[in-house]
Amino acid sequence: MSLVSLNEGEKVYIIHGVEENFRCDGRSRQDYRPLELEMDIVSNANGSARLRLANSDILVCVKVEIDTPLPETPNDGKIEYFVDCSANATPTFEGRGGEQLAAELSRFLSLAHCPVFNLSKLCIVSGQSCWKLFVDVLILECGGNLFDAVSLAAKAALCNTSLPNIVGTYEDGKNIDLQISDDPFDTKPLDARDLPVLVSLCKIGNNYVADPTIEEEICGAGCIVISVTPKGKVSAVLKKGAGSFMPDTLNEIIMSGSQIGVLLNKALEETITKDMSSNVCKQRFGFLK
Amino acid sequence: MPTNLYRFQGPEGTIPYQHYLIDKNNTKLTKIATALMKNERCDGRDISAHRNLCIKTGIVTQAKGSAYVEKGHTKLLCSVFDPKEVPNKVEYAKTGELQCEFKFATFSCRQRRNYTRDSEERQLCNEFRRAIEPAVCRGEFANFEIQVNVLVLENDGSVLSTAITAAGLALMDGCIPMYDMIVASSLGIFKNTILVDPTYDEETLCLSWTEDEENRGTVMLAYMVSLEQITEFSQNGSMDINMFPEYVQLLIDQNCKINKLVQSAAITDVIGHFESQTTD
Amino acid sequence: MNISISLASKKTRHGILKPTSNPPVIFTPGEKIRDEAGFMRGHGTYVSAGSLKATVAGVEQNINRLVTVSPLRCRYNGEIGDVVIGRITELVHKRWKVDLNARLDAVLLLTSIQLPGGELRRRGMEDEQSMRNYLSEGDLISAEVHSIFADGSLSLHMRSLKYGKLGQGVLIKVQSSLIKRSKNHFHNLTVGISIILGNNGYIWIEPTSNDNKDLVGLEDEFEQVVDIGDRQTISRVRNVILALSYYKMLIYDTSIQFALEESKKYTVSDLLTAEACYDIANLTRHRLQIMDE
Repeated sequence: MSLVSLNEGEKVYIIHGVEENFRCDGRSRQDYRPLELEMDIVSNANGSARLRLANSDILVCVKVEIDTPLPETPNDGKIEYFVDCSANATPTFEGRGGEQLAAELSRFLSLAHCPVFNLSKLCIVSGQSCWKLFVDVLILECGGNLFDAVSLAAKAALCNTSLPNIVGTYEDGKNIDLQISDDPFDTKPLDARDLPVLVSLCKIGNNYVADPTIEEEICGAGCIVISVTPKGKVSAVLKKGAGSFMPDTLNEIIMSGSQIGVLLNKALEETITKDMSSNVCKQRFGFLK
Repeated sequence: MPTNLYRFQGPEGTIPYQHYLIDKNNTKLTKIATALMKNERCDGRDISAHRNLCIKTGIVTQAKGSAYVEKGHTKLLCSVFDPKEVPNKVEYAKTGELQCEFKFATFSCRQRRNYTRDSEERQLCNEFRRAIEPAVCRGEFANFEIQVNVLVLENDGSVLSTAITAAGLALMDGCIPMYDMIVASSLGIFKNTILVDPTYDEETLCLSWTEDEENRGTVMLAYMVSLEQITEFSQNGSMDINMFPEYVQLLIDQNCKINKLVQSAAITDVIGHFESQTTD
Repeated sequence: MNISISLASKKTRHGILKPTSNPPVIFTPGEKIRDEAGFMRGHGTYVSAGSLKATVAGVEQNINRLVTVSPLRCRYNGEIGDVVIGRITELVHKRWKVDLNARLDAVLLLTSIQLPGGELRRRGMEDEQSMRNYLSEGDLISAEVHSIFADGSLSLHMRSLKYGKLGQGVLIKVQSSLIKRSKNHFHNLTVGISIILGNNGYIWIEPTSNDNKDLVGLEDEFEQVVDIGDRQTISRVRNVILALSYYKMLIYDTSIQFALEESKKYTVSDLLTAEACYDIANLTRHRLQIMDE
């Protein structure tokens, strides 16, 4: 996936560092690199967020459209995830290079969100029309730990999303006519605070580290990605890499992953609240920093 | 299997007639749910009982190794093809590669599936590859790739775990060096009740959205019994963190049981092979 | 557990630090530099309608009549005698290919390394066959630029005790133009670690070894564990150098030393934050200015 390669000496150095609980950049095993979040930066989207985790840069936009619900779930709306690995991120994504990673990310994101997200909130008229959310994830730069960064950005973007208010519905036989307020500020926010975030824990030697860098991912024997809700519930687990785990190690990893996940959720929650409270004449920075 | 990814897949034109049945309110699922509350399962099994396994190896004569596994109504076929050199490979790879394909036959599920691989198949394929990768002695196949294909003929729940078990058998039948046999099993959790080896309906029930805080979802674990190593673990649903050790332990116990079955099947196979040789 | 998510709008935006002297004239591609008459066209320029124009954005440099424009940021252009750090990418007939962050991969000939057994040994078939035992793909080396081929690729040599294969430590990559050329690129900092500032922008940080290394320097030592004190210093130096490079400051022994002294008030992991980086770069610049005056 990446163009980084390491020699044995560097690997040994990283592995010993993890053993001593002091990683190459000075973090302890469970520390995250500084994260930076910006919300509502794309004016054409109903909700958007950009997250920067060291060198990983993720832009997530949510677009809202109207669709008819599936016949088997007439009261549920729809949500779809698309991940695009831009060739800007690394030359290996060029052409169809990033396709597998993108498919895996979008599938796992929808698996993780599905058990927690109440789709019936997106219903407009039962069996007739519903909201459909398109969550488009764009990976602009890839500096390791994509799963965590993507999930944080996706949650922030969904929290930032607001649905237009429906003024009235008119039923004309089988057809439904919707009237939607034309005031762009007449919207109601989508409640997405309960959504989980993903925590990747990479097993290096006999220990595991949170927020692995690309170098650490290369040294690691395997990686467990855990989706944790703010209440500490686990909604999905995935294994990455070709390693295998002892049962006790696995339990330990999941346990500490959920603890980290709760803190990560809390940190995100605080940041989002801070962003909402400072809403007056907010300046968009985007990429001009 | 013709898979043409370039062709544009138009919107689904047809709707399965099941949605127009008179019984629209999913009484089937509610029935299963109420029965489960009384610790009864629709197929009469105990909640901690595995479905009966039917194993047959060497079923695809053209392949190096193959296995057919039937678990209740879940029926699938797995075949392993000879190691061959990785085509168009520039760099030297120290470990061999596994090429996997996980395919649902178009008629295998309630709703007809497309020929093209969908995201679920891709995800299952990824998980499948990761589960069997650690078991194969890949160091012996430097610069080679091994093709492992799975075709699901009928899907009645616990597909991935059945597929992994079948792959373990097929790899063994194909005489591919392995560190250990690999087996997998799955659990469904519905309102804190643990169901071993859930069927399709039970899986749907476990994954359906509810407001309450009770544990629900599915867990799958692939295990190498004598090495005591978990090669793949995946979970979906909403579960309390403290329940994980229990689920993992339960799955490991189940896997030990399956491992015995698989081992005896393997031994009978080898004996059968020798017998047929001596009679020749 | 240390998790911090900051808001982009809350972040104090620091541009590149203000230059102390007047900035030089910067030409953009296509901009006229001067009339061609009496001047020679060098790198980064082209001739059009009787005048010299720039092809890259950068500053003009004149050597007698030769006019060149050197870009602000470019891949490494080697010069003979440069100390470089490179990573082996490929083994080909009697030579290694080395990635140097240059336009082309450099070449390290089997004859330009010291083999076990002394200087005057002939290199036979056995040596050629066991090349992978000496250096294999992914290994890091420090070497010197020996010569430049006609196509611009470099030939390296390691025929000195100070060069060799690198063991345990950290590699960081910065722009090659940020490395200040000096007599010595091997520094033992007073804090007990050594750094090698490769002219190609690769910097290697490792603990100072007390015992003399084996003469050839092609052996691996992995049993030795770097102790936690050294490890902390190495990480500190790493973060400090990255901070300096983020703010486009020249990297050499004095600037690193000053930055290290300024960084004492932060813990190592705090040095990852943008505020700390800015603070350190700023303070270091002040001290360097004072020293110049």
